Amino acid sequence: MSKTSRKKYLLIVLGLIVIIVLLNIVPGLSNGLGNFVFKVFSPIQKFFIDLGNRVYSVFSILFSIRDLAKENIALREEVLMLESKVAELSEVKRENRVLREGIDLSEKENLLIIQKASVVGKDIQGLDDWILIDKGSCSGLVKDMAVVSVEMGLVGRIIEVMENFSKIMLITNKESIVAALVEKNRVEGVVKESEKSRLFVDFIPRGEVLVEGDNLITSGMDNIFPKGILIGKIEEIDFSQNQLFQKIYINPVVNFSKLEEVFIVE
Amino acid sequence: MKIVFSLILIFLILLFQIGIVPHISIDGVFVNLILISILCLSILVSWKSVLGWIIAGGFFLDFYSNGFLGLSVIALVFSCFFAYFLSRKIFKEKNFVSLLLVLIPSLFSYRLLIILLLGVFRGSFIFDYSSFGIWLLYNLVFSVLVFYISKYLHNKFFISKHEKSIPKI
Repeated sequence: MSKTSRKKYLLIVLGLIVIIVLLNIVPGLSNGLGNFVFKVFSPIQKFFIDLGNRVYSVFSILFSIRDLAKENIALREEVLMLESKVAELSEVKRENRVLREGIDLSEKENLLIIQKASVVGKDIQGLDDWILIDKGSCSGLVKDMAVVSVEMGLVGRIIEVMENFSKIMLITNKESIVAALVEKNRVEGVVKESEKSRLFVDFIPRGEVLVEGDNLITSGMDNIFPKGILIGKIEEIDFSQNQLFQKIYINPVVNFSKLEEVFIVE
Repeated sequence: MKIVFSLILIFLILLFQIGIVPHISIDGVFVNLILISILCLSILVSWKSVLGWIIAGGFFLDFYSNGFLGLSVIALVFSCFFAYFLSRKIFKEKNFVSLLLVLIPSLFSYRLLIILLLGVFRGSFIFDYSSFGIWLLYNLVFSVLVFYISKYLHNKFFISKHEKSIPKI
């Protein structure tokens, strides 16, 4: 390589280092650039996300035809059971309201929906579990706001806000930690992602008796996720002898591969 | 004409990467078409000629990742230089085995660098052996495919009949 050529490549490398440092140091610069890039490419990615979800639905229906009749019967029974529970809870809610009015306490909603947003992008390197939504700071979003699915299952939290877009870290991300509790017996734990890419609850003492199928909800102890959001159901309980706590594997209620719309809540 | 063709090709690769690739993952592992295309070009032509594409491709990958800006650029520059060095100085014999011996370490170095730099950035290292292995294998298969397609396109559209000097593999 000639001296001039060497100098040229050295200048390019130095210039690159300066640009990278500037992009990461100057506040708002990478945010603004990211906003521009997503504005250009997100319509394309959203189109293919929607197309992919539709194709996935067709194939999953074809593969599950045999089980549909069985599932139908099970779901009908569950609906009947839930309808009677709703009726019971409506009565409890009415009594609660009457009592609160009686002692002059204002009724506060558990979850306030700030915005509805569409999923317009995902991680393309497969390094992290995160999604991109089409709402940002101009819609009132800030970092660490909780995000739920349209069926009110826990999705994750906002980790980066741009003007028109926001990045959501999913609860299946290896960096995600969610304070949770078992709905039935109120045992508290922390939901994380294991090395085997499965969600599990940590710090549940070995003496606690848990049942597969029990619901897991947010406890609100992390001051990020409001209390009472459904995370998933207990799928498997691991009682390995060499562990201080039992490992509870859970099945999330949200199908993260088919997310199209979400709510940002507080 | 060559520039227009290159731009259309790059746009198609970006389209595939952001639109279609996330739907064809194996155990959460994706193919990185941008990395593969730039690596193959570095082997076919030279890493210096594709430096602009390395930088642009790297920044594009960074916007669609969750690390700091420049992470993928650094990893791409290193792995493309490494691929070029291996193909010109070490595995000079132009055959299928040499191609594999160039691609495997290059892909390995890219993924490892990304994991290490992300770990330094976040202060914690997360390494999943099975995921790493699946990623390497999945991207290797596509790399071989993309290499031969790139070679064919390069010979057909980018060099004249008198300049056909790309050795046969």
